[in-house]
Amino acid sequence: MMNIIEISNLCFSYEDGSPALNNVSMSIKQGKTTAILGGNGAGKSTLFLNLNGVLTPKSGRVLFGGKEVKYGKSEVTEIRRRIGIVFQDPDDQLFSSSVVKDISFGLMKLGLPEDEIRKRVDLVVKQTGIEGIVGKPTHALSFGQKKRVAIAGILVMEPSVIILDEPTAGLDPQGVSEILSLLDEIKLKLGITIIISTHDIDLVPLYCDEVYVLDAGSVIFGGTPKELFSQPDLLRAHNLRLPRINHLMNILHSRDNLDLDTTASTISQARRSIRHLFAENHRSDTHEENTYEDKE
Amino acid sequence: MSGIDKHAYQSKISRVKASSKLLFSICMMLICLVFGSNIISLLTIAVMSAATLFLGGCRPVKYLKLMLVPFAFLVTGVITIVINKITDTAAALFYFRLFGAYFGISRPSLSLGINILLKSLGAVSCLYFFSLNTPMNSFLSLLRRRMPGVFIELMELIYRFIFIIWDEAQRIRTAQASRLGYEGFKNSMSSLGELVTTVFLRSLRRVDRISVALDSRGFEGNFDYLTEKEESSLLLTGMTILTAVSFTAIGLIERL
Repeated sequence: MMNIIEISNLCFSYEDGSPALNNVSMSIKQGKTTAILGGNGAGKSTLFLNLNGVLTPKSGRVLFGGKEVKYGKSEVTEIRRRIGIVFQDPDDQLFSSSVVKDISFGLMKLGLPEDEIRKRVDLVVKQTGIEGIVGKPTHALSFGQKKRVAIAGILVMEPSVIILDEPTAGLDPQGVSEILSLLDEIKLKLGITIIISTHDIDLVPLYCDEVYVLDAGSVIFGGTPKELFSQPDLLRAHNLRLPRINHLMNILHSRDNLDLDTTASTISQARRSIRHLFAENHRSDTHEENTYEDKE
Repeated sequence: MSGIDKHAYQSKISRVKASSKLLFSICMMLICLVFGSNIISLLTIAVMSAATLFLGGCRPVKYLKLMLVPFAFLVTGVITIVINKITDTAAALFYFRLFGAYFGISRPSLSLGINILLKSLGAVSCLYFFSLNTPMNSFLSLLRRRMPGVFIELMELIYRFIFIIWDEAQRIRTAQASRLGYEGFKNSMSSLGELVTTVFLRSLRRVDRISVALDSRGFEGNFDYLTEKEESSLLLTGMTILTAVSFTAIGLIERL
């Protein structure tokens, strides 16, 4: 598995001197979804802006596609095209009152012919499912629709990596699952690597392949969701918690002595484990009956 | 806040070329103002209102309400023209004494007042046709090819952020009102002051976030983007030519 982004010993501090990132090292796997967990002020957004070349690291280095990222003017333009960020508040990102204008903004800089730009915009509009709202002005859209337009504006650049800062914040449950399945589709169909920061632990086992935990600018953990959720104490120490389902499975295991899979974190995993347990009990029950009958 | 703006986007001819709509309304406005006769003004009002109502699909009640806004200003303006100091009370239609002098309405002043009122309403109906049927976005695209880029970009950003800032102000106002911030004059004034400062400070903070977002999208100092495709309307072009020619003819015949 190739690592599309390799961060080693990245340090960054803001102008007032407070360190925001402290020897951060991460490997982002190509074509996977990586979640960055951490409380407010943990340094997630700062890290993203360092990856995208908006902020320049004080020390350490970032490899993108095997090549070291340079922060010179011409290199930065290219890196911003290849690594796109979708910000938390779409109103900060959408500067145009016309959906089509906003989506085409980044493309115009690539010097493509107009027909090609139109084709790409049309394609992206279809991919993000916003055909019905392209004629509306930006201020008439709902929060979730604006979020989709923001994603479309990044996707149209055909980036290798899309970073989403809190993609589910402020959305209703329906909106959350729609955005997440859109991201899954982008990952599976287009092979784009996804990085998301989130507070929503329950979505991690469902949609993420890799997890990093940041706290006070340092990496606390890196690995798969399964590995992370087998360390509940570590989670608690950094103001995080287990996914609800996983928590339940742990309680059933430790307090009620049920022989369940304590790493199950999604409904389907828990269901499989519970059905398995029932099937086993049933088998032993029928076995007992059989022996009883045998005795008779 | 977004009344006219909303209408423009909902108009049936919102996707028709802004240039042809502009041409139509400017032609009609010029004819109305140049000839300045009551008949031409009335015809202009009728044609432009019909165009807005039938071509654009604006609801009549809404349109009348919008027309009442300039009408109120016009009436107060026209009153000062109609009522004059008069010397010949016998020729006056109506007069009264004030501070030892006679004031009233004479036949010529009345017809001048009516003429100005109709002329202005005619011009307003032309303006309304354009603004009720042309979304800001398509108007800005029209200007883009003819004005310095900086002005257009500023206009576009202002137009976009009016709504964001307005929403923010609304939310703050609701929050203040729900904590009795607008009970009584003194409270209202201090709440309003706080609202203005907060909106201003938040806007400044937003500027930082927007410039970061723009940077990360590859902003290099100018906003280039695709202009939306617009339809051309034969009907509108036909109407422009037809009404312009016939109105000019009527106006000229009237003068003979």
